[in-house]
Amino acid sequence: MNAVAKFLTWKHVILFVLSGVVLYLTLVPLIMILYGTFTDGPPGTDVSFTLKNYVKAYGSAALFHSAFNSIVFAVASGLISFVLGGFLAWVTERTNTPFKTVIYLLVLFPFIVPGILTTISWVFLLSPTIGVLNQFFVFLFGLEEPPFDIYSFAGMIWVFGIDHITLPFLLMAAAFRSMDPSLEEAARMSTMGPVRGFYHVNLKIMFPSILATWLLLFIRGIETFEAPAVIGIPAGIRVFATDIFLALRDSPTDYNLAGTYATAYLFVTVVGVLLYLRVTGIAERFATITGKGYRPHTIDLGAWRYFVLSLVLALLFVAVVLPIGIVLWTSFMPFYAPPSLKMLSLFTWDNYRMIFELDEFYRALSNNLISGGAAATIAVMLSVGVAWIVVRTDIPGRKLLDIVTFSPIALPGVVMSLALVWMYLTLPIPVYGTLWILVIAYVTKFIPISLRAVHASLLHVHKELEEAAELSSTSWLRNMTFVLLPLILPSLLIGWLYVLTLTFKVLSIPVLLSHVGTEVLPVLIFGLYESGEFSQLSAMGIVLVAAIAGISGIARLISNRFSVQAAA
Amino acid sequence: MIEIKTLTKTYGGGDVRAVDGIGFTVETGSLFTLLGPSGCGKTTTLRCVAGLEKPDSGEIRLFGERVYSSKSNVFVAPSRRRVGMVFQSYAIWPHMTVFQNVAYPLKGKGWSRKEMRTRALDALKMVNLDGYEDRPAPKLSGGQQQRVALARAMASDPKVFLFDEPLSNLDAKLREEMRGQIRQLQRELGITSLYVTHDQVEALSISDQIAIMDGGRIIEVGRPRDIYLHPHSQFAAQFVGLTNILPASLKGDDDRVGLRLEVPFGELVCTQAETNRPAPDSRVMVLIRPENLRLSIGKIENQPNVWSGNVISSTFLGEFLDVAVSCNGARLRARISPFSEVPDGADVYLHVAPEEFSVISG
Repeated sequence: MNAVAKFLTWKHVILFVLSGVVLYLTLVPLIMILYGTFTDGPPGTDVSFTLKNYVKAYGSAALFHSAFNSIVFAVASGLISFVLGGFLAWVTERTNTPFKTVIYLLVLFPFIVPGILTTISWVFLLSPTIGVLNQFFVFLFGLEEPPFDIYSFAGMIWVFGIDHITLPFLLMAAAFRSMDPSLEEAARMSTMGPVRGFYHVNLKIMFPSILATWLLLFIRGIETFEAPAVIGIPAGIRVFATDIFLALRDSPTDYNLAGTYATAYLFVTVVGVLLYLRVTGIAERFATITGKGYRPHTIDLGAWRYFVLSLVLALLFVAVVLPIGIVLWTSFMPFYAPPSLKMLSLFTWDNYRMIFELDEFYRALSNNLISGGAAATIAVMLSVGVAWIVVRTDIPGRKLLDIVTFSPIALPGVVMSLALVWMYLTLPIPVYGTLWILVIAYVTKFIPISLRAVHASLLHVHKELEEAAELSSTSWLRNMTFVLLPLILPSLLIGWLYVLTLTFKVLSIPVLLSHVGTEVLPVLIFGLYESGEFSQLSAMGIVLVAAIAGISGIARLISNRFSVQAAA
Repeated sequence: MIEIKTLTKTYGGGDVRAVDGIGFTVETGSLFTLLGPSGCGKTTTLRCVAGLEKPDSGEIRLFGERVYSSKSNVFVAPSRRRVGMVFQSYAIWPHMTVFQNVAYPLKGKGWSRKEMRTRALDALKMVNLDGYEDRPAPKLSGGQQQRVALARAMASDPKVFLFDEPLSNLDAKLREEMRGQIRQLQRELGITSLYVTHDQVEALSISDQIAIMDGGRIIEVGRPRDIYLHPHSQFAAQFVGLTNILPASLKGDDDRVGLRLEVPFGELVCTQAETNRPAPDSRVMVLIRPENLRLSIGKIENQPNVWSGNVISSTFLGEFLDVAVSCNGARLRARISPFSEVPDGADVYLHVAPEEFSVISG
């Protein structure tokens, strides 16, 4: 065997190519957009270097206004989500409130509803002209004017906040569950009173989890596009995401300026992500999360538990049932109208019939399945390569590869779309205007998520299982195919399905990258909303939610079956 | 034959010397055990032989073939070394049947399907698992899984067997049974084997040769009998079994009488022929195993190596009575018949036969 052949094994070629693709996907767009901010012409043209974009962007009050709005929006909506989600987590984990399964199912429900649909549903509920709740309160109390106006800063914050209770619920429930009850008992044995005990022990121990949860909500809030677009734009409230979106809709488009806005946007999210990584590092050090399943004390609420239950159900009715309910109702109406017995006589299946006869629907659905399916496949494959390098090899630079692969978590959808537009208008790779640019965007955006899933599953595969294979067969590919991949297949499938559902939900990426012929379902819904087709939109939304629920159900089945097998 | 020369493996950029320039030879057909406390470098050495770790320097030869050499930059891939390994965790692939597990190492090595099947089934028969081939591997018990691992290791006709603490996950009864099976198989097949364990009883019962390791170095090598009865180092004496260690000085070495030694409570005569023979007047250590000390209430007449002491405490341990005795300030432990009873504080006489203890250089 000569020296070249020794180093150019399949293993090295494959790992090298996979890492190369990941680096290309994550780093090149950023470099291109940064390059663009220092030039004076649109992408793909002859340009000269300049600082005028920075002078213009950072010299205007508009940027700082948007920055301020973005931060206030993210902090305030995060507060709503955190308080409500945390309260629900406390109720289900630490009290004896009945019907916990019902509470669980309702809290998890928003996970399968695309943000664009929830946002529109709140317009149906709280619009000053057509809002159901407004009309209800006007009728009930004989008010002169509608009490709520969704088209306001508060409205925007409310919609995003109430739609994001699931994330803090899950994270705080995990934090409550993993707390060693002996710590609390130790506090109770000491002379501290219950309130001081709660403060000194529970709150201080949970502080890193609280901070991490809140930072994650902050990043999501800064990044989000739906509520700022549907509510913020008509209300005249601009945030980073809508600034860039509108700058790109203007014509002639000033890509350079949009890119410069994006740098400020990126700065805020990167700071958020760095803080998050730091805090989660600290959270690990606190190590309240061990493999042990604790059974923390639940507080006996006595007769109060029915009061707490009704409070929780009322909250979930507003947060979950009302929004999807109004969409469901509208999907059966020939035109948008608030629910009433009189309107019930107009009940019709026509909207569903119509969308199933609509070519655009099938095109969007197949675009969605193709681009989402392709993206999920590529993301999972790349994740396997990266995770394997990080977990199983001592190749220098593997830590860096891990961080780089994780970095798109800090890249807001609109910024990434802008960067990709820039990149593929400059490079001679003809993907702009095709489904491929969507695939590239989805892969880049969701690879951190599939990477975490694959990484975790690889850690669970005992190293000796792979070493036994290494001793058995010379072929790395055979060992990967017959030993490792079958072992992590369930996690790969779950990761794949999860990424697929995300592509059915995200709007901020395709809204800038889809063109006529390459629309996906969230874009179609956004388009129908802009043209006022509320009934059709609702029917399509319900079909979409049903599809996502189906996919999630399959993922759930796989993970249940797998965990049962692992336990046996 | 396995030959290892000046093998070194460091971690953390050279800070931790896991294996520190060791060398030894495993004779063809014998079972050689690396015995030592955790972190002594025994598993790292084994993994270097398997090719799962790449050493920093040194040389490893399997039957004359260099599989690793830092000097001539040779590193043979694990699967090309023709070694069969049994892992501590069994490392049975849970998504395969018993047969698939055993047959996997046979793939891609030029055997026909039929040959592969016969070989795999033969291997399963050798470990008494015939009839189990279609069972899903995780459904087997721990002992059965370990036997599947054994069958898998020998299916592809290896030249060398490597065992990495293969019995440490089994309960005590099963461990003893499997120990016997491994030893029997290894003898029948005559496969040169390297075995790693921290369990001294396992090492003593299974090995042809034992190397005691500590801190990345080999402290001493010998047959189980010699390691236990005539250790050359204090570490080996203390690690394998319990030992009373007494400082002594050599008073004379005489072919007729034997070694004459002075210990804190008197004089000892050692007639053990195989023990070390230190230079006269040098400082030495006397090693007496607790089970070789005899205890008596009445005076023992006409015997050398008798001295008096009194009982500090005794503990009933089922197999024997463990008695701590103080002799002129020195504390000795004796293991005597569990049927004996000695009250605390009792005056007793201690005796050790002149040929039943050994001496090392201090």
